[in-house]
Amino acid sequence: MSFSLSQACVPVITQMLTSLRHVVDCASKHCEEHKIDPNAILTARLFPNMWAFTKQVQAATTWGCNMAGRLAHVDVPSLGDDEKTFDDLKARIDRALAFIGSVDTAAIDASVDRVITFTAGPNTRKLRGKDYLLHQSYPHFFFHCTTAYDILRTNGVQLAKRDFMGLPPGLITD
Amino acid sequence: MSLSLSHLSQPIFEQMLNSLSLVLDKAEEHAKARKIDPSVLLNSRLYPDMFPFTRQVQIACDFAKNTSSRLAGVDVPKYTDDEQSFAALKERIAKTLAFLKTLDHVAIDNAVERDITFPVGPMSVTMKGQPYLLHFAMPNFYFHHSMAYAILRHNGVDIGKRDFLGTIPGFPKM
Repeated sequence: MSFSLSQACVPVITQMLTSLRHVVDCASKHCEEHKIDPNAILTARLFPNMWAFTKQVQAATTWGCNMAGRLAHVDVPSLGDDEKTFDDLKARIDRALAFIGSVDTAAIDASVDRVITFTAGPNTRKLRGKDYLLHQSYPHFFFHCTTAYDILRTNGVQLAKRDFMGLPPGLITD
Repeated sequence: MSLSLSHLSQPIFEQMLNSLSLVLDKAEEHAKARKIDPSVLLNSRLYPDMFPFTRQVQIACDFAKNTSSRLAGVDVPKYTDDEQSFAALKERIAKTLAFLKTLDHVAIDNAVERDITFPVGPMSVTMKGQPYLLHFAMPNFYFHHSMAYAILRHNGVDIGKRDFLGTIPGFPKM
């Protein structure tokens, strides 16, 4: 029994970015409620040489768009990197979700063994589609989703694992 | 062209657990070089109500072990959660990796449509094999793995994204 590459890609990104949007929303409400300057959270980091919250959300959405777009063999739209508010970040996630929802899943499915060329820092790298998704994109994507969540938790935003997970598609409820 | 469930789980767990083991080496070296009591890092948390480092590593191992067992249709081996040192945590990772190698990949592949019932806190939840892996197990596995890394970064251990990623399988020979 098998399934397609797009099934391992589009619904996973959609689940996690939808939950990330919710998490950003929780941060925004937390700031309002506790009279915290949103910038304190938006620029918060786990360590001085790690990326700030805003950049973690930008990276998660960029990875989401890149993996769907590159596997579908279409140009990936630039999301810009100029978000200054929680609302800006939510709008960015919406743009990313709209793009990811628009890609041709059959084109993704055809990329299991196609060589994907991408840049990693100063280097150009090549991986077959399935390896690019599972071993390069997944770890990066989940890394930034988790780090965004971590930054909020260390700043006292009340979140739990279920906020991070969102609603897993396929949950069978009685 | 399609993928199988074993393909989508085993090499990922292997890549990421091996990277976690090397990250533990670096944490241990860091503690030694800076004369930090290892138990400080092992018990460190990002926030008072979050799990400490040791527990994050234990849970990451358990998501790999439990998910793979359930997909393969074998009993989930139970590990005692009594690790008190970096060496003991590395042993747990090695034990987990060795256990994964014993599993029948065909049995895992056949779980795509099979009902998997598993505990989530006090509840019992059922999902089909494929969504269970993609939408429940993977986000959880990466969550705890990223959290372990984040705790070390937060404590000044000199590790980077490359350490988190480990060796990416599938880079075609240049």
